[in-house]
Amino acid sequence: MTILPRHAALIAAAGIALLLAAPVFAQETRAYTDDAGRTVEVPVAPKRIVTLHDSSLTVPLVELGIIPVGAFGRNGEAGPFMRGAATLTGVTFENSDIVNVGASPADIEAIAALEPDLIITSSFQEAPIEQLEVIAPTVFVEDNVRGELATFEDIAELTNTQDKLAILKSRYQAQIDQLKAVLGGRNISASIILTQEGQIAAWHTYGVIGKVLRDAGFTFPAIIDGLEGTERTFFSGEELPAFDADFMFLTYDPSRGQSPQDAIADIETVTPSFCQFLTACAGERFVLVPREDAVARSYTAAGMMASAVLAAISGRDLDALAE
Amino acid sequence: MSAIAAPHAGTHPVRAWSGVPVLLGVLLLAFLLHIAVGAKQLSLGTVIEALFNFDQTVFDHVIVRNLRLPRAVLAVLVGASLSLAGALMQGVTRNPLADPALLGLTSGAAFAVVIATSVLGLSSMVFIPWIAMLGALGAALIVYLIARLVPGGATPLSLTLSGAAISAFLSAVISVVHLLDQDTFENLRVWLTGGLAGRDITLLLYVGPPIALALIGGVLLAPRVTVLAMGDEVAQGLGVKTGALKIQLLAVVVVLTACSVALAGPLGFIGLVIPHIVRLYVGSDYRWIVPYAALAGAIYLLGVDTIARIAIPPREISTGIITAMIGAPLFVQLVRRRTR
Repeated sequence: MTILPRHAALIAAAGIALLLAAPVFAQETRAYTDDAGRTVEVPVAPKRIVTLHDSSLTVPLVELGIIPVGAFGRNGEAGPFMRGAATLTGVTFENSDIVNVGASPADIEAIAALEPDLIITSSFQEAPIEQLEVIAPTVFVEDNVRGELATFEDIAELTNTQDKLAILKSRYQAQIDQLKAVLGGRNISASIILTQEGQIAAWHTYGVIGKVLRDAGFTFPAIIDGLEGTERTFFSGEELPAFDADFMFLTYDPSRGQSPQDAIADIETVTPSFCQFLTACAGERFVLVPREDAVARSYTAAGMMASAVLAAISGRDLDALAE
Repeated sequence: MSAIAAPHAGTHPVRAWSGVPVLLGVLLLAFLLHIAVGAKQLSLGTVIEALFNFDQTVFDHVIVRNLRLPRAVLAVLVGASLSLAGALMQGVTRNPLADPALLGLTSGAAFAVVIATSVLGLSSMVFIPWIAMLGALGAALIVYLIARLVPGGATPLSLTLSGAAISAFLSAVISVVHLLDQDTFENLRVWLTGGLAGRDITLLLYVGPPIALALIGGVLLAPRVTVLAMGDEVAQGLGVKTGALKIQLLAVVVVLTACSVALAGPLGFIGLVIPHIVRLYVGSDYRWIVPYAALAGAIYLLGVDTIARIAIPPREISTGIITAMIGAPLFVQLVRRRTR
């Protein structure tokens, strides 16, 4: 039989494609139902993972002890970076082999070149799922569906790191118990806000700091408890007194060049003379925390926030506040 | 397009003057409505007390005096400025589609502010108005030069097309800046949609005087714009030094546009739509169009901003979005009416 040059080229191309796909075919797989309701055949023990969001996916993965081969990278003033990496995991593009695959939409060719065996994405990512699926099994893990830190369960299941997760959870519970011990069951309220777009923004549970406060037993103002879902809601500066609590937390964003003083100046613009209308501020119980750590999906961040809250409430006359 | 080129000879002074107190009355009502309604419901008595017997320890008084009142003042100044600038541009270019946004001035000012703050790190309030002015002036000159180079010269059509091209180009450059530094740019994203929420009123210390001078200058120059709208040759025949007049008008328009952008970001449609509405009443005499446009522009932005604040409580909508949502269909309706 004569093999024509064109056919030879096709066979060679098919061979290369099979070789590229080899990591997937070589691995044992199992069915996994993701947050989008899709059932995907994923490798039982993925070795080459690409994550398509930094603070929601890459940070949890690294905290579970897995270094991805490629990850979502933002363009910053000093070059590409992963939000949360520097302060929470310490694993950055500079000191690891993680390849920057771009932000949103991610660079499909860069992802393909990494030959991943699993891609973890979310609805935030604009790269078409149809193209990602061709490269490797792709699953959606949403961080805004079931609350803070819930993505750890999914990522641990996908990467067989449930043991590591159990240790993180145990440490977190010990930190919460510390807070509960200081609170002593008193009715102490807290609220967390930020200023954005010339308005006040709030969530029902704002980032890991919100989870820490709720898990520790703080109560929240009715305006925050009344918020539904996991999305932020904006309020006019006229509503600020409704957010007053025994302890108030305001986040600032150093990754965008915002200092704590800038955040104070911003809230002063949104609500002039704000401090005199907030008992928390007048009583010097108005605490500023860096946004990147306050909102990260990270047990390390949760620990940092637990420490910040502990420092804020320790030594206060909580009995007087509880009255 | 030539419908507004010839001045309307029949603007009767009585008819024209009769509209002024009406507009002033509506402006006052719109201003009072703007400070009376908002996210927090306040009684009329509280509003009046806050205005005339201010107690800075009462939060409701702070809402009225320090939040709503400055915002209403901003709305008046920006609305009047953009509308008056649009009216002057339509007269001097004899182009009914001319407005600060369409001829690239707004984009030029926004582009300059974005580059200065995100790339050069200049964020001081003192510099912003001047940077915006440089950007608006630069964009205006480039648009004019491109139009001049087109066969046939700076016609209304060539000015509009080159303005659209420059606006698109500057928007593309702003997008590139965004891609290069998404996080820093987030701070400017909202400002670029145009709005009055959370604006720093102290900026008025720097832009208030130039705006006031430019508004007065625009009204004083208006009679000569009427002559200019007849065509350069006719104006020169009537003794008008058209070159000097155009430079003065350009300065007025650049100052008004740049200061408005510095205060509220790039707001569209005000300078385009309001002069057209005004013309329906006063005809094509710029002696009346210009002051009427200033008053009507202020009323329009006060109304739009009131809607933006109360439409979907508790959230506020960006004023620039409402301006476009109302301005676009209004403009289409005006075009249809003119076509008939």
